Amino acid sequence: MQSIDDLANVITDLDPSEQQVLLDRVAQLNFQKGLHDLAEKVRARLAHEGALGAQPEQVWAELHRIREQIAEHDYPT
Amino acid sequence: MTTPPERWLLDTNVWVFGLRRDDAFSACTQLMDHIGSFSVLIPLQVLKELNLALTEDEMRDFYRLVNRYPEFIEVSWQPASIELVKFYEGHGCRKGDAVIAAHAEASGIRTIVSENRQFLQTLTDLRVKVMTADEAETHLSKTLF
Repeated sequence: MQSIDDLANVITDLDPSEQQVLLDRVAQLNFQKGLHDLAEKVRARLAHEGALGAQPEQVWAELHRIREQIAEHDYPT
Repeated sequence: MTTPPERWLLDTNVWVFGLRRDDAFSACTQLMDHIGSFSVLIPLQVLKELNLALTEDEMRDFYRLVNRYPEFIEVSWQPASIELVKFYEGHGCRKGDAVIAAHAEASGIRTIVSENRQFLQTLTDLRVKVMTADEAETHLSKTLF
């Protein structure tokens, strides 16, 4: 594994445009890691609740229910 | 930071099935893995739905991501206008779906990604279009790779 200083030297040798691409990619990977961690947390909670294997129809029913409930509350007929 | 060129609204079902890593909706998972190559708008209605679908702790993590990466995810707290909601209801959308379409139009979003079959069938030939996560993935693969 290269040290942080070695990596910084490699990066500063890159063109500014390449540096930007690299920074964008690092940000994207960090974001993806955060999303993966969140997904793992959600899956662990669902497993604990015994709901991880729920049929998609059940999930859909709940999603439809909360959608219409919120919309009806915010935009009453 | 460079903002990705495409900006889409991901419907709540894409978030929920994607976060569950549901095998039946693997395209949702794949699409979420590609956020960053496109950016995402989260409108108020989706936020409220996620707030009910996720725990407080999970929502905290979610907001942390939103705050750290505003170039990838943007939250809109603006309510959709009643006129636009009625417009989309008038075109056959259920009220909740009409709110999502209204949010998209008001935010200048042309594409909603959703697995909601009724939404997909209803929202045709209008200013906002709906595509599935699979179609979104195909679109990305043509433009990015």
